[in-house]
Amino acid sequence: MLAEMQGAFRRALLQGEASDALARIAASDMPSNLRLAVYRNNALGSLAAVLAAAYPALERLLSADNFRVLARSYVAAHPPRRPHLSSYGAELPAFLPVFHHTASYHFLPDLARLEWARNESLFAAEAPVLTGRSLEGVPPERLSGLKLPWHPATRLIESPYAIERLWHAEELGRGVAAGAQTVLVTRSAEGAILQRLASPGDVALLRAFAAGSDLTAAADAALAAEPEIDLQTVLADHLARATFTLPQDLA
Amino acid sequence: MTAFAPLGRTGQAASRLADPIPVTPIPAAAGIGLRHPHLPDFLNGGPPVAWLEVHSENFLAEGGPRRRALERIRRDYPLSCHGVGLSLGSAEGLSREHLTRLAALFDAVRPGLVSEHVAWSVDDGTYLNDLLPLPYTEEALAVLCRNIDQAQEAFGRRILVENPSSYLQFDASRMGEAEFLAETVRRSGCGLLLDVNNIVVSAENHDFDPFAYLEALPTDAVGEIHVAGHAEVELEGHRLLIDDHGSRVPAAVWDLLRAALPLTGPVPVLVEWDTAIPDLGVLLEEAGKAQHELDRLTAERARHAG
Repeated sequence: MLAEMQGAFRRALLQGEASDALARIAASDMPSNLRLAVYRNNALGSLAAVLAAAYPALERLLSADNFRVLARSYVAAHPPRRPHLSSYGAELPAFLPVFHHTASYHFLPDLARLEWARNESLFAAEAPVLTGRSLEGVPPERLSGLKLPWHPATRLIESPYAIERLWHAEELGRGVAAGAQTVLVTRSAEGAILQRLASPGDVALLRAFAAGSDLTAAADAALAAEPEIDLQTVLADHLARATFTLPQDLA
Repeated sequence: MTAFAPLGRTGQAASRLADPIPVTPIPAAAGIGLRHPHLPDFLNGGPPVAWLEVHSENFLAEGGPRRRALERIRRDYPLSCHGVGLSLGSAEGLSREHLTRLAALFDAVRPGLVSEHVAWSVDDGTYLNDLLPLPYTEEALAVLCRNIDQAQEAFGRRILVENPSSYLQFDASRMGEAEFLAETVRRSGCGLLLDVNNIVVSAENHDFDPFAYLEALPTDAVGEIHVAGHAEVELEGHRLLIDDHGSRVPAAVWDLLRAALPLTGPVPVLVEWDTAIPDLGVLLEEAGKAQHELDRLTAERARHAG
Protein backbone atom coordinates (compact mmCIF):
# COMPACT_ATOMS: atom_id res chain seq x y z
CA MET A 1 0.00 0.00 0.00
CA LEU A 2 2.67 2.48 1.06
CA ALA A 3 4.85 1.53 -1.91
CA GLU A 4 1.93 2.09 -4.32
CA MET A 5 1.20 5.49 -2.78
CA GLN A 6 4.83 6.55 -3.10
CA GLY A 7 4.96 5.42 -6.73
CA ALA A 8 1.78 7.38 -7.44
CA PHE A 9 3.23 10.55 -5.89
CA ARG A 10 6.55 10.15 -7.72
CA ARG A 11 4.70 9.96 -11.05
CA ALA A 12 2.51 12.92 -10.08
CA LEU A 13 5.45 15.11 -9.08
CA LEU A 14 7.81 14.26 -11.93
CA GLN A 15 5.51 13.36 -14.82
CA GLY A 16 2.37 15.24 -13.84
CA GLU A 17 0.32 12.00 -13.90
CA ALA A 18 -1.80 13.10 -10.98
CA SER A 19 -4.98 10.97 -10.94
CA ASP A 20 -3.70 8.06 -8.82
CA ALA A 21 -2.14 10.43 -6.23
CA LEU A 22 -5.22 12.67 -6.13
CA ALA A 23 -7.47 9.68 -5.33
CA ARG A 24 -5.51 9.13 -2.10
CA ILE A 25 -5.74 12.68 -0.71
CA ALA A 26 -8.34 13.28 2.00
CA ALA A 27 -11.14 15.61 0.85
CA SER A 28 -11.13 19.09 2.40
CA ASP A 29 -12.26 22.64 1.66
CA MET A 30 -9.24 23.14 -0.56
CA PRO A 31 -9.27 21.10 -3.79
CA SER A 32 -6.80 18.21 -3.68
CA ASN A 33 -5.16 19.23 -6.95
CA LEU A 34 -4.09 22.55 -5.34
CA ARG A 35 -2.59 20.70 -2.38
CA LEU A 36 -0.72 18.30 -4.68
CA ALA A 37 0.50 21.20 -6.84
CA VAL A 38 2.36 22.67 -3.84
CA TYR A 39 4.50 19.52 -3.69
CA ARG A 40 5.02 19.39 -7.46
CA ASN A 41 6.14 23.03 -7.49
CA ASN A 42 8.46 22.49 -4.51
CA ALA A 43 10.11 19.44 -6.05
CA LEU A 44 10.51 20.81 -9.59
CA GLY A 45 11.32 24.36 -8.46
CA SER A 46 14.00 23.31 -5.99
CA LEU A 47 15.66 20.96 -8.48
CA ALA A 48 15.56 23.65 -11.19
CA ALA A 49 17.33 25.95 -8.70
CA VAL A 50 20.00 23.30 -8.12
CA LEU A 51 20.59 23.12 -11.90
CA ALA A 52 20.68 26.91 -12.22
CA ALA A 53 23.37 27.06 -9.53
CA ALA A 54 25.50 24.56 -11.46
CA TYR A 55 24.87 26.16 -14.90
CA PRO A 56 24.84 29.96 -14.33
CA ALA A 57 26.14 30.87 -17.81
CA LEU A 58 23.59 28.64 -19.53
CA GLU A 59 20.82 30.19 -17.43
CA ARG A 60 22.01 33.71 -18.31
CA LEU A 61 22.32 33.02 -22.05
CA LEU A 62 19.00 31.17 -22.34
CA SER A 63 17.19 33.60 -19.95
CA ALA A 64 15.85 32.50 -16.58
CA ASP A 65 12.39 31.69 -17.96
CA ASN A 66 13.75 29.50 -20.76
CA PHE A 67 16.14 27.81 -18.39
CA ARG A 68 13.22 26.92 -16.09
CA VAL A 69 11.42 25.24 -19.01
CA LEU A 70 14.59 23.32 -19.85
CA ALA A 71 15.19 22.39 -16.20
CA ARG A 72 11.67 21.01 -15.68
CA SER A 73 11.99 18.80 -18.77
CA TYR A 74 15.42 17.66 -17.64
CA VAL A 75 14.18 16.82 -14.12
CA ALA A 76 11.38 14.68 -15.58
CA ALA A 77 13.82 12.88 -17.91
CA HIS A 78 16.76 12.59 -15.47
CA PRO A 79 15.50 12.84 -11.88
CA PRO A 80 18.15 12.70 -9.12
CA ARG A 81 19.30 9.22 -8.14
CA ARG A 82 20.90 10.34 -4.89
CA PRO A 83 20.12 13.00 -2.30
CA HIS A 84 23.43 14.86 -2.32
CA LEU A 85 22.63 17.33 -5.05
CA SER A 86 26.14 18.65 -5.67
CA SER A 87 26.36 15.72 -8.11
CA TYR A 88 22.98 16.41 -9.76
CA GLY A 89 22.90 17.66 -13.34
CA ALA A 90 25.72 15.66 -14.95
CA GLU A 91 23.57 14.64 -17.93
CA LEU A 92 22.45 18.15 -18.86
CA PRO A 93 25.13 18.59 -21.61
CA ALA A 94 23.83 15.41 -23.30
CA PHE A 95 20.20 16.52 -22.82
CA LEU A 96 20.59 19.85 -24.65
CA PRO A 97 20.82 18.30 -28.16
CA VAL A 98 17.68 16.19 -27.60
CA PHE A 99 15.58 18.99 -26.04
CA HIS A 100 13.86 20.51 -29.06
CA HIS A 101 14.18 24.18 -27.96
CA THR A 102 17.99 23.92 -27.64
CA ALA A 103 18.74 21.23 -30.25
CA SER A 104 19.88 23.68 -32.94
CA TYR A 105 22.38 25.51 -30.70
CA HIS A 106 25.30 23.18 -31.34
CA PHE A 107 27.71 25.07 -29.09
CA LEU A 108 25.55 24.81 -25.94
CA PRO A 109 26.53 21.23 -24.94
CA ASP A 110 30.22 22.18 -24.80
CA LEU A 111 29.46 25.31 -22.77
CA ALA A 112 27.47 23.08 -20.41
CA ARG A 113 30.40 20.63 -20.21
CA LEU A 114 32.60 23.53 -19.11
CA GLU A 115 30.10 24.51 -16.44
CA TRP A 116 29.81 20.92 -15.23
CA ALA A 117 33.61 20.67 -15.11
CA ARG A 118 33.65 23.72 -12.82
CA ASN A 119 31.00 22.11 -10.61
CA GLU A 120 32.91 18.82 -10.43
CA SER A 121 36.11 20.70 -9.63
CA LEU A 122 34.44 22.51 -6.72
CA PHE A 123 33.45 19.23 -5.06
CA ALA A 124 36.34 16.96 -6.12
CA ALA A 125 38.38 15.00 -3.58
CA GLU A 126 41.24 16.60 -1.70
CA ALA A 127 44.84 15.79 -2.67
CA PRO A 128 48.18 17.44 -1.93
CA VAL A 129 48.90 20.18 -4.50
CA LEU A 130 52.16 20.19 -6.45
CA THR A 131 53.67 23.64 -5.88
CA GLY A 132 56.93 25.28 -6.82
CA ARG A 133 58.12 24.67 -3.29
CA SER A 134 57.64 20.90 -3.61
CA LEU A 135 60.05 20.94 -6.57
CA GLU A 136 62.77 22.95 -4.81
CA GLY A 137 66.01 21.02 -4.54
CA VAL A 138 64.92 18.22 -6.89
CA PRO A 139 67.96 17.56 -9.14
CA PRO A 140 67.41 18.19 -12.90
CA GLU A 141 67.92 14.53 -13.86
CA ARG A 142 65.11 13.53 -11.49
CA LEU A 143 62.90 16.40 -12.69
CA SER A 144 63.03 15.21 -16.29
CA GLY A 145 61.73 11.78 -15.26
CA LEU A 146 58.89 13.11 -13.07
CA LYS A 147 55.33 12.11 -13.89
CA LEU A 148 52.89 14.84 -12.90
CA PRO A 149 49.42 13.44 -12.19
CA TRP A 150 46.45 15.77 -12.49
CA HIS A 151 44.90 16.94 -9.25
CA PRO A 152 41.43 15.34 -8.76
CA ALA A 153 39.90 18.82 -9.27
CA THR A 154 41.58 19.43 -12.67
CA ARG A 155 39.50 19.30 -15.88
CA LEU A 156 40.27 20.07 -19.53
CA ILE A 157 37.36 20.86 -21.86
CA GLU A 158 38.13 20.91 -25.59
CA SER A 159 35.61 22.34 -28.01
CA PRO A 160 35.30 23.44 -31.65
CA TYR A 161 33.39 26.45 -30.23
CA ALA A 162 34.48 29.51 -28.24
CA ILE A 163 33.21 28.16 -24.93
CA GLU A 164 35.31 30.44 -22.75
CA ARG A 165 33.97 33.53 -24.55
CA LEU A 166 30.45 32.12 -24.25
CA TRP A 167 30.97 31.53 -20.54
CA HIS A 168 31.65 35.26 -20.08
CA ALA A 169 29.07 36.50 -22.61
CA GLU A 170 26.04 38.49 -21.50
CA GLU A 171 23.94 37.34 -24.44
CA LEU A 172 24.01 35.13 -27.52
CA GLY A 173 25.22 37.72 -30.04
CA ARG A 174 26.11 36.84 -33.65
CA GLY A 175 29.44 35.01 -33.90
CA VAL A 176 29.96 34.75 -30.15
CA ALA A 177 30.57 30.98 -30.43
CA ALA A 178 32.94 31.13 -33.43
CA GLY A 179 36.43 29.67 -32.98
CA ALA A 180 37.73 26.58 -31.19
CA GLN A 181 38.70 26.96 -27.53
CA THR A 182 40.07 24.57 -24.93
CA VAL A 183 39.64 25.52 -21.27
CA LEU A 184 41.62 24.32 -18.27
CA VAL A 185 39.67 24.27 -14.99
CA THR A 186 41.53 23.90 -11.71
CA ARG A 187 40.92 24.46 -8.01
CA SER A 188 43.47 26.62 -6.24
CA ALA A 189 45.03 25.55 -2.94
CA GLU A 190 42.67 28.05 -1.29
CA GLY A 191 39.63 26.40 -2.90
CA ALA A 192 38.82 28.92 -5.67
CA ILE A 193 37.77 27.56 -9.09
CA LEU A 194 40.13 28.92 -11.76
CA GLN A 195 39.89 28.68 -15.53
CA ARG A 196 41.99 29.78 -18.49
CA LEU A 197 42.42 28.97 -22.15
CA ALA A 198 44.90 26.23 -22.99
CA SER A 199 47.02 26.47 -26.16
CA PRO A 200 47.55 23.39 -28.42
CA GLY A 201 50.98 22.72 -26.90
CA ASP A 202 49.61 23.05 -23.39
CA VAL A 203 46.77 20.64 -24.24
CA ALA A 204 49.33 18.13 -25.56
CA LEU A 205 51.38 18.56 -22.38
CA LEU A 206 48.38 18.00 -20.12
CA ARG A 207 47.12 15.03 -22.15
CA ALA A 208 50.59 13.46 -21.96
CA PHE A 209 50.72 13.83 -18.17
CA ALA A 210 47.19 12.44 -17.91
CA ALA A 211 48.36 9.40 -19.91
CA GLY A 212 51.25 8.84 -17.49
CA SER A 213 54.13 10.39 -19.47
CA ASP A 214 57.12 11.88 -17.69
CA LEU A 215 58.23 15.50 -18.04
CA THR A 216 60.61 14.74 -20.93
CA ALA A 217 57.98 12.92 -23.01
CA ALA A 218 55.28 15.47 -22.13
CA ALA A 219 57.56 18.35 -23.14
CA ASP A 220 58.29 16.60 -26.46
CA ALA A 221 54.57 16.23 -27.09
CA ALA A 222 53.99 19.92 -26.28
CA LEU A 223 56.78 21.09 -28.60
CA ALA A 224 55.54 18.83 -31.40
CA ALA A 225 52.07 20.38 -31.12
CA GLU A 226 53.32 23.96 -30.70
CA PRO A 227 57.04 24.53 -31.49
CA GLU A 228 57.05 28.10 -30.09
CA ILE A 229 55.55 27.17 -26.68
CA ASP A 230 57.34 28.64 -23.63
CA LEU A 231 57.32 25.52 -21.47
CA GLN A 232 58.92 27.13 -18.44
CA THR A 233 56.18 29.76 -18.22
CA VAL A 234 53.43 27.22 -18.87
CA LEU A 235 54.71 24.86 -16.16
CA ALA A 236 55.12 27.69 -13.64
CA ASP A 237 51.52 28.69 -14.31
CA HIS A 238 50.34 25.11 -13.68
CA LEU A 239 52.16 25.10 -10.35
CA ALA A 240 50.49 28.40 -9.43
CA ARG A 241 46.99 27.19 -10.29
CA ALA A 242 47.26 23.73 -8.67
CA THR A 243 46.87 21.70 -11.88
CA PHE A 244 48.87 18.75 -10.55
CA THR A 245 48.97 16.71 -7.40
CA LEU A 246 52.18 15.75 -5.67
CA PRO A 247 53.76 12.75 -7.50
CA GLN A 248 54.23 9.55 -5.46
CA ASP A 249 58.01 9.79 -5.60
CA LEU A 250 58.02 13.35 -4.14
CA ALA A 251 55.45 12.70 -1.39
CA MET B 1 35.01 32.93 -4.01
CA THR B 2 36.23 33.18 -0.45
CA ALA B 3 39.77 32.11 0.36
CA PHE B 4 40.25 29.12 2.61
CA ALA B 5 43.34 27.92 4.39
CA PRO B 6 45.31 25.28 2.48
CA LEU B 7 45.28 21.85 4.05
CA GLY B 8 49.00 21.29 3.82
CA ARG B 9 50.79 18.29 2.39
CA THR B 10 49.63 15.68 4.86
CA GLY B 11 46.06 15.82 3.52
CA GLN B 12 42.79 15.80 5.40
CA ALA B 13 42.60 12.21 6.58
CA ALA B 14 46.06 12.23 8.12
CA SER B 15 45.54 15.50 9.98
CA ARG B 16 42.22 14.23 11.29
CA LEU B 17 43.83 11.14 12.75
CA ALA B 18 46.55 13.22 14.35
CA ASP B 19 44.10 15.63 15.92
CA PRO B 20 40.62 14.10 16.25
CA ILE B 21 37.71 16.39 17.04
CA PRO B 22 35.99 15.35 20.26
CA VAL B 23 32.20 14.95 20.19
CA THR B 24 30.82 18.14 21.72
CA PRO B 25 27.31 17.86 23.17
CA ILE B 26 24.79 20.43 21.89
CA PRO B 27 24.02 22.80 24.79
CA ALA B 28 20.45 23.65 25.87
CA ALA B 29 20.90 27.07 24.26
CA ALA B 30 19.93 28.87 21.06
CA GLY B 31 21.73 27.87 17.84
CA ILE B 32 21.40 28.73 14.16
CA GLY B 33 21.45 26.81 10.90
CA LEU B 34 24.82 27.26 9.14
CA ARG B 35 24.19 28.12 5.48
CA HIS B 36 26.67 28.63 2.61
CA PRO B 37 26.38 32.45 2.43
CA HIS B 38 27.51 32.68 6.08
CA LEU B 39 30.57 30.42 5.81
CA PRO B 40 32.89 33.45 5.39
CA ASP B 41 31.46 35.06 8.55
CA PHE B 42 32.46 31.98 10.52
CA LEU B 43 35.84 31.50 8.81
CA ASN B 44 36.86 35.12 9.35
CA GLY B 45 35.65 35.51 12.92
CA GLY B 46 33.74 33.82 15.69
CA PRO B 47 30.15 35.08 15.64
CA PRO B 48 28.55 34.72 19.09
CA VAL B 49 26.26 31.69 18.87
CA ALA B 50 26.21 28.62 21.13
CA TRP B 51 26.02 25.96 18.41
CA LEU B 52 25.39 25.33 14.72
CA GLU B 53 23.36 22.92 12.63
CA VAL B 54 23.94 21.94 8.99
CA HIS B 55 21.99 19.96 6.44
CA SER B 56 24.08 16.80 6.19
CA GLU B 57 23.40 16.38 2.46
CA ASN B 58 25.07 19.74 1.70
CA PHE B 59 28.43 18.42 2.85
CA LEU B 60 28.67 14.94 1.31
CA ALA B 61 31.00 15.84 -1.54
CA GLU B 62 34.43 14.23 -1.43
CA GLY B 63 36.26 17.50 -0.93
CA GLY B 64 36.37 21.17 -1.78
CA PRO B 65 36.16 24.49 0.04
CA ARG B 66 32.73 23.98 1.64
CA ARG B 67 33.65 20.69 3.24
CA ARG B 68 36.96 22.18 4.40
CA ALA B 69 35.13 25.18 5.85
CA LEU B 70 32.77 22.92 7.80
CA GLU B 71 35.63 20.91 9.26
CA ARG B 72 37.37 24.10 10.31
CA ILE B 73 34.26 25.78 11.78
CA ARG B 74 33.45 22.54 13.61
CA ARG B 75 36.58 23.04 15.71
CA ASP B 76 35.06 26.22 17.18
CA TYR B 77 31.37 25.28 17.57
CA PRO B 78 29.30 22.28 18.67
CA LEU B 79 27.64 20.91 15.53
CA SER B 80 24.35 19.15 14.86
CA CYS B 81 23.82 17.26 11.57
CA HIS B 82 20.25 17.50 10.28
CA GLY B 83 19.42 15.19 7.38
CA VAL B 84 17.05 16.09 4.57
CA GLY B 85 17.52 13.14 2.20
CA LEU B 86 17.57 9.83 4.06
CA SER B 87 13.85 9.29 3.40
CA LEU B 88 13.01 7.42 6.62
CA GLY B 89 9.45 6.84 5.35
CA SER B 90 10.38 5.03 2.13
CA ALA B 91 8.64 1.66 1.70
CA GLU B 92 11.63 0.42 -0.33
CA GLY B 93 14.02 0.96 2.62
CA LEU B 94 17.07 3.17 2.93
CA SER B 95 19.93 3.62 0.47
CA ARG B 96 22.99 1.73 1.75
CA GLU B 97 25.23 4.09 -0.19
CA HIS B 98 23.65 7.13 1.43
CA LEU B 99 23.88 5.65 4.93
CA THR B 100 27.57 4.97 4.34
CA ARG B 101 28.24 8.52 3.14
CA LEU B 102 26.42 10.01 6.11
CA ALA B 103 28.29 7.76 8.55
CA ALA B 104 31.59 8.93 7.01
CA LEU B 105 30.55 12.58 7.43
CA PHE B 106 29.63 11.96 11.08
CA ASP B 107 33.01 10.25 11.64
CA ALA B 108 34.71 13.37 10.28
CA VAL B 109 32.76 16.12 12.07
CA ARG B 110 31.60 14.18 15.16
CA PRO B 111 28.19 15.89 15.56
CA GLY B 112 26.59 16.26 18.99
CA LEU B 113 23.16 15.48 17.49
CA VAL B 114 21.96 13.67 14.36
CA SER B 115 18.40 14.17 13.16
CA GLU B 116 16.08 13.43 10.22
CA HIS B 117 12.45 13.92 9.24
CA VAL B 118 9.29 11.84 9.56
CA ALA B 119 8.74 12.03 5.82
CA TRP B 120 9.76 10.35 2.59
CA SER B 121 11.54 11.65 -0.53
CA VAL B 122 12.75 8.54 -2.38
CA ASP B 123 10.76 6.10 -4.52
CA ASP B 124 12.18 3.62 -7.03
CA GLY B 125 15.65 4.99 -6.28
CA THR B 126 14.56 8.47 -7.39
CA TYR B 127 15.10 11.39 -5.02
CA LEU B 128 12.28 13.97 -5.17
CA ASN B 129 14.04 16.70 -3.12
CA ASP B 130 11.00 17.40 -0.97
CA LEU B 131 9.76 16.11 2.37
CA LEU B 132 6.59 14.24 1.47
CA PRO B 133 4.01 13.23 4.07
CA LEU B 134 3.21 9.70 5.22
CA PRO B 135 -0.22 8.21 5.75
CA TYR B 136 -0.59 7.43 9.44
CA THR B 137 -1.12 3.67 9.19
CA GLU B 138 0.29 0.58 10.90
CA GLU B 139 2.18 -0.22 7.70
CA ALA B 140 3.84 3.21 7.51
CA LEU B 141 4.70 3.00 11.20
CA ALA B 142 6.37 -0.39 10.71
CA VAL B 143 8.32 0.92 7.67
CA LEU B 144 9.41 4.06 9.51
CA CYS B 145 10.53 2.18 12.63
CA ARG B 146 12.42 -0.41 10.58
CA ASN B 147 14.24 2.38 8.71
CA ILE B 148 15.01 4.30 11.93
CA ASP B 149 16.44 1.09 13.42
CA GLN B 150 18.67 0.66 10.37
CA ALA B 151 19.88 4.28 10.53
CA GLN B 152 20.57 4.11 14.27
CA GLU B 153 22.47 0.87 13.67
CA ALA B 154 24.52 2.35 10.80
CA PHE B 155 25.38 5.54 12.75
CA GLY B 156 25.92 3.74 16.05
CA ARG B 157 23.80 6.30 17.85
CA ARG B 158 20.27 7.40 18.68
CA ILE B 159 18.77 9.87 16.22
CA LEU B 160 16.05 12.49 16.59
CA VAL B 161 13.13 12.51 14.14
CA GLU B 162 11.26 15.71 13.29
CA ASN B 163 7.49 16.13 13.22
CA PRO B 164 6.58 17.12 9.64
CA SER B 165 4.75 20.08 8.16
CA SER B 166 2.32 19.12 5.42
CA TYR B 167 -0.09 20.48 2.83
CA LEU B 168 -2.29 17.39 2.47
CA GLN B 169 -3.62 14.43 4.44
CA PHE B 170 -4.43 10.88 3.35
CA ASP B 171 -7.70 8.99 3.31
CA ALA B 172 -5.73 5.94 4.43
CA SER B 173 -4.64 7.46 7.78
CA ARG B 174 -5.97 5.52 10.77
CA MET B 175 -4.38 7.54 13.62
CA GLY B 176 -3.47 11.10 14.39
CA GLU B 177 0.01 12.49 13.72
CA ALA B 178 0.86 12.95 17.42
CA GLU B 179 -0.14 9.36 18.15
CA PHE B 180 1.91 8.15 15.17
CA LEU B 181 4.96 10.04 16.45
CA ALA B 182 4.50 8.79 20.01
CA GLU B 183 4.34 5.20 18.74
CA THR B 184 7.47 5.79 16.59
CA VAL B 185 9.42 6.98 19.61
CA ARG B 186 8.13 4.10 21.77
CA ARG B 187 8.97 1.38 19.23
CA SER B 188 12.29 2.62 17.83
CA GLY B 189 13.78 4.31 20.87
CA CYS B 190 14.58 7.42 18.81
CA GLY B 191 14.15 10.95 20.15
CA LEU B 192 11.98 13.78 18.84
CA LEU B 193 13.07 16.96 17.14
CA LEU B 194 10.11 19.18 17.91
CA ASP B 195 9.57 21.71 15.13
CA VAL B 196 7.05 24.19 16.52
CA ASN B 197 6.85 26.05 13.20
CA ASN B 198 5.79 22.80 11.51
CA ILE B 199 3.01 22.43 14.07
CA VAL B 200 1.78 25.98 13.38
CA VAL B 201 1.89 25.36 9.61
CA SER B 202 0.11 21.98 9.70
CA ALA B 203 -2.43 23.11 12.31
CA GLU B 204 -3.49 25.96 10.02
CA ASN B 205 -3.45 23.82 6.86
CA HIS B 206 -5.45 20.97 8.42
CA ASP B 207 -7.47 22.93 10.94
CA PHE B 208 -6.39 21.41 14.25
CA ASP B 209 -5.43 22.90 17.63
CA PRO B 210 -1.62 23.22 17.84
CA PHE B 211 -1.61 23.28 21.65
CA ALA B 212 -3.64 20.05 21.92
CA TYR B 213 -1.28 18.42 19.39
CA LEU B 214 1.70 19.51 21.46
CA GLU B 215 0.27 18.00 24.61
CA ALA B 216 -0.36 14.67 22.85
CA LEU B 217 3.33 14.31 21.95
CA PRO B 218 5.84 12.40 24.12
CA THR B 219 7.53 15.68 25.09
CA ASP B 220 10.00 13.92 27.42
CA ALA B 221 11.61 12.45 24.25
CA VAL B 222 12.30 15.90 22.75
CA GLY B 223 16.04 16.45 22.30
CA GLU B 224 15.90 19.64 20.22
CA ILE B 225 13.40 22.28 19.08
CA HIS B 226 13.25 24.10 15.74
CA VAL B 227 11.75 27.54 15.19
CA ALA B 228 11.44 29.22 11.77
CA GLY B 229 9.29 31.48 9.66
CA HIS B 230 6.68 30.44 7.12
CA ALA B 231 4.82 32.10 4.24
CA GLU B 232 1.12 32.57 3.75
CA VAL B 233 -0.23 32.05 0.23
CA GLU B 234 -3.66 32.15 -1.30
CA LEU B 235 -4.46 29.50 -3.92
CA GLU B 236 -7.72 30.13 -5.79
CA GLY B 237 -9.19 31.75 -2.69
CA HIS B 238 -7.87 29.12 -0.25
CA ARG B 239 -5.35 30.12 2.40
CA LEU B 240 -2.34 27.85 2.93
CA LEU B 241 0.80 28.21 5.07
CA ILE B 242 4.02 27.23 3.29
CA ASP B 243 6.95 26.01 5.39
CA ASP B 244 9.59 28.03 3.53
CA HIS B 245 11.96 29.05 6.38
CA GLY B 246 12.26 32.38 4.64
CA SER B 247 11.41 35.03 7.25
CA ARG B 248 11.66 35.96 10.91
CA VAL B 249 9.99 33.65 13.43
CA PRO B 250 6.36 34.85 13.72
CA ALA B 251 4.47 35.42 16.99
CA ALA B 252 2.41 32.21 16.66
CA VAL B 253 5.63 30.17 16.61
CA TRP B 254 7.13 31.98 19.62
CA ASP B 255 3.83 31.40 21.47
CA LEU B 256 4.04 27.67 20.81
CA LEU B 257 7.71 27.59 21.85
CA ARG B 258 6.69 29.26 25.13
CA ALA B 259 4.08 26.52 25.62
CA ALA B 260 6.50 23.74 24.65
CA LEU B 261 9.52 24.59 26.82
CA PRO B 262 7.85 23.89 30.19
CA LEU B 263 6.90 20.43 28.80
CA THR B 264 10.28 19.56 27.27
CA GLY B 265 12.51 21.27 29.80
CA PRO B 266 15.66 23.07 28.66
CA VAL B 267 16.76 21.70 25.26
CA PRO B 268 18.73 23.13 22.31
CA VAL B 269 16.59 25.54 20.24
CA LEU B 270 17.52 26.16 16.59
CA VAL B 271 16.59 29.08 14.35
CA GLU B 272 16.23 27.76 10.77
CA TRP B 273 16.42 30.00 7.69
CA ASP B 274 16.67 28.45 4.20
CA THR B 275 15.21 30.77 1.56
CA ALA B 276 15.93 34.49 1.04
CA ILE B 277 18.78 34.09 3.54
CA PRO B 278 19.52 37.44 5.25
CA ASP B 279 22.70 38.79 6.83
CA LEU B 280 24.00 36.69 9.69
CA GLY B 281 23.07 39.47 12.12
CA VAL B 282 19.35 38.83 11.52
CA LEU B 283 19.75 35.15 12.41
CA LEU B 284 21.71 36.08 15.54
CA GLU B 285 18.87 38.44 16.57
CA GLU B 286 16.35 35.62 16.21
CA ALA B 287 18.65 33.31 18.17
CA GLY B 288 18.76 35.99 20.88
CA LYS B 289 14.98 35.84 21.15
CA ALA B 290 15.09 32.03 21.42
CA GLN B 291 17.76 32.31 24.10
CA HIS B 292 15.52 34.75 25.97
CA GLU B 293 12.77 32.09 26.08
CA LEU B 294 15.24 29.49 27.38
CA ASP B 295 16.50 31.93 30.03
CA ARG B 296 12.94 32.63 31.10
CA LEU B 297 12.31 28.90 31.53
CA THR B 298 15.42 28.58 33.68
CA ALA B 299 14.38 31.55 35.83
CA GLU B 300 10.86 30.17 36.32
CA ARG B 301 12.17 26.76 37.27
CA ALA B 302 14.58 28.34 39.78
CA ARG B 303 11.70 30.33 41.29
CA HIS B 304 9.58 27.18 41.70
CA ALA B 305 12.48 25.24 43.14
CA GLY B 306 13.29 28.07 45.59
